[in-house]
Order: sequence, then structure tokens, then C-alpha cells
Amino acid sequence: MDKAIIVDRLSSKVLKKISFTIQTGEIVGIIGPNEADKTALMKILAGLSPSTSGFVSVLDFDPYQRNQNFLKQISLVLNQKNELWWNLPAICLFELNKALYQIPEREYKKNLDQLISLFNVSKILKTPVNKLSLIQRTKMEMIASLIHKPKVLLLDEPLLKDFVFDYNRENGTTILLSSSYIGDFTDLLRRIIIISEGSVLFDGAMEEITTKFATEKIIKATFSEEIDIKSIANIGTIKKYSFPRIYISVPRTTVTFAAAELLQNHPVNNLAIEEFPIEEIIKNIIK
Amino acid sequence: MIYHYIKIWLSDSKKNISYLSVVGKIIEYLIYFVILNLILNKIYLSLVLLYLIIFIKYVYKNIYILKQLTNSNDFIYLLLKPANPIYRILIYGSNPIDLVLSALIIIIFCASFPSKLLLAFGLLTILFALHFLVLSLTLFMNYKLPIEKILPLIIIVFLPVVLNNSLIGLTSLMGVLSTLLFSISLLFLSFKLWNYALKNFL
Repeated sequence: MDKAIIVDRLSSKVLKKISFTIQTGEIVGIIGPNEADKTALMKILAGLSPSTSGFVSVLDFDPYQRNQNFLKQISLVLNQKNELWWNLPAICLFELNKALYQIPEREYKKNLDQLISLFNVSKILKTPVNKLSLIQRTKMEMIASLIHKPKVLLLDEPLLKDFVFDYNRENGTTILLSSSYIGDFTDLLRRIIIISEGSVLFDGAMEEITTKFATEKIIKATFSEEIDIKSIANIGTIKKYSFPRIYISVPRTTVTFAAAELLQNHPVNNLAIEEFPIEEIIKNIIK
Repeated sequence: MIYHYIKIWLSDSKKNISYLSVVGKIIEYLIYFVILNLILNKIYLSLVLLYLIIFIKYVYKNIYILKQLTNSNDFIYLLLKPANPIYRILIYGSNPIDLVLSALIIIIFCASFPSKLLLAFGLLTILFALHFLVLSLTLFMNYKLPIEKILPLIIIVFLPVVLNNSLIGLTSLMGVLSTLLFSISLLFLSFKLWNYALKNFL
């Protein structure tokens, strides 16, 4: 697979020597508490901001040169921003983009049909933008950004995310999307990059986060009768107890022994061993 | 390339056209022309001044649009598109009626005074160079400079010089050549400044 994005020891006003590569057709999530870090990275990748040092390549172009062939192959969607014309139907903007990106008529129609069905907007295509709801406007904004079928799609804190899987599968587009909230990604992505205070803290598969950073697991149990809480204090750290339910945090290495001891010595009805919620693990990494 | 830009203009300027705006524009310019002709009693001078009125209005509109785009940070959308941002700004402020009328005035003027064709070209180049210069300053200062207050001063200084040279007296070869040289240098300088402003905008 080719590399769509290469970032090597990239520094800017807010970023500190970050490095990663993204393969063609990959979907990667960028998460981190600070919006400025992620937006700065997105803007550098789109060619809107310069880097102070390091190397950046997107589709083999230096983004900051803003070569027209480069601009024809990428798309950046920023949260809270839109380029729709308030008093006119969104289709007018699509037509303008068709001219700007020099999309042949047949290809334009094909792309538009695909996007209309993906976002289910056929009935509001000719409605003036000021009469659309926020989510409808967001869909139109997304169509305007995808009408030229970009090879690289950069989504900064997007309101719409669910479509990326289908879109990526159908078109093989490389997608980089950022968010402050990991819950947005758990079902969507295989790979994430965690950026905090301008540095990359983690870059890898979602599952790796738990094995790498979660040293403990959670035992969830329900009791048939009330117990003396002190009698199970040696098993692990009691996170919460409200009869009949108990949550105990136990080191990953001793979790099976802890579960066996709980089952043998206490009136347990149900027992389950679970991973820590990924949101909590990431919060701890960022701390 | 030109065809590409014409297609962009046609798509983008659609939003500026409406039945009312066409009628309104025609009435507005007719009134200007009648008043100018009553005062000056010279058709060609009235036409030139009418052209300048249209042009100055266009420059102001572009400054206003550029300021609005930079203030709201929507200017980045122009930078992300595969078309020169200055062209997009010019389109944003353009009105097809203005364009048609301006073209008509230029044709009438050139047909009436073929000997002043080069000077007319110089005059137009200077006007456009000034326009780019003002836009570059607007972008470069990133909305800190009250450009709309400075622009009338620039126009007051340059306009009499340009009018004096090209319309009233100067017809010598040296005069024509120096006007052309000055206008092309100014245009080159303004493009350089625009590119510099663009790099330093973000």
C-alpha cells in the first residue's frame, strides 16, 4: 500500500516533532484534549499553515505549496465553518465546485447521485440553505466537500461521522478525522493517534490501548445476599458497591485468581470480567 | 484555463443576478450618466467618469467582501480551492451588469479615440494594479488597516494624474510609453505584494 500522508518530526507553533504515516485508504482518528493541536495539524496537512521544521507530504505534494493538482485531490472540513450560500440552494455551490474542480459532467452526476443517496438529501437539494436544519446543512456541506471525490479527506471535529466507513469502502478515500471525545471513535476506527500538548502520545490500534495502558481489569458481580465489604477488600480495589452489584478493579495478571476467590467464598449470582472503558484509559494517558 | 475561469465566473455570479437588481442597476447608471452629462456637457468624459464610478464601487465591494472573509476566517475556503484566490475575490464582487456596462464604455471610448488606445490600456492597467494593491494591503494588514478610509486618498492622488495624462493633454510617444511602463510595473508590484500577503495571511 502507498503512503498517502507522511509526517516526520513536524513542528509548528503548537506541534512538537510529531511523526506518523497514513496508508492510502486508511481511516485514522486523531484525538486529544486540545482543539488547537488537532486543528493546527489539519491546517498544515491541507496547506493552510506552514510548519516551522520537519517534513510533511500529502499525496507526494508539499501541502504548503498549494499546488492546484494537490488541492484538487484533498478536502478539509472544519467544524463550525461552512461555505454554503445562505439564500441559495446548496446545489448552486455544488455547481460552482464542479467548475472549480473541473469535474466532467458525467462524473459530477455520478458523484452527486452517490452522495445524495449516502446522505439521503434528495428532497432538500433545491431548498434554500437558510431553510435547512443544522444537520441538513452539515450534510450539504459534506457533499460540497466530497463532490470532487477527494483522495484525502480531512475532517476536523465533524458533526457527521457515521458515513465515513461506507464512503471509505466505496471510494478508497484516505480519511483523517479529529475529535476531542473518544466515544466518537470506538465503533468506527481501528487506528487512532493521541495528541496532547503538541506531541503524539500514542499511535496504534484501538485494542492496543487497553493492552498497553490498562494495567487493570474490572470484575462486575452481583450477590444473592448482602456481604461484609471488608471481607473482599483483599481481592482488589472496590470501585463501587451498591447491593446487589459490585465493581472491583483488579490487576490484569491476577484477575482469574481474584474471580475464582470471589466465586468460591462469596454468594455470587453473576460475574463478568471486563476491560476498563477506553475513554477512561485515554483520560489517564492524557493526564 | 480561460474557459475554466469563465465557467467559474458564470457559476459564482449566478447568486448576484436577479430581475430587480438588473432593473435597479440600469436605472442607477442612467441617472449617473444624465447628471454627469448635464454637469460636464461632454459625452465621452461622462462615460469615463461613469466607468470610474462603477470601478470604484466594485473596488469598495471587493474590499468589504475580503474584510468579511478574513474576519470570519472563511478566506481559508478560497485558499483550499484549485483556483487563484484573487480571481475568486474579483468574482465575489462582480456583477454582470457592471461588467457589461464597463465593457461597453471601454469599447465606445476606444472606437471614438483610437489614437488613445494605448493610453486607455495604461489607464485600465493602473486602475487594476491599484485594485490589487488595495486588496493586498487589506489582506496583509488582516483587517487592522481601515483601508476603506485610505482608498479615497489614493484615488484622489492618482486619478487626476491618470486623467490628465491619458485624456486631456499627454499624447507624445514618451508620455504613452512611460504611462505603460509605470502601469505594468505597478501591476507587477501589486501581484508580488498580493502573493506575499497570501503567504503571511495565516
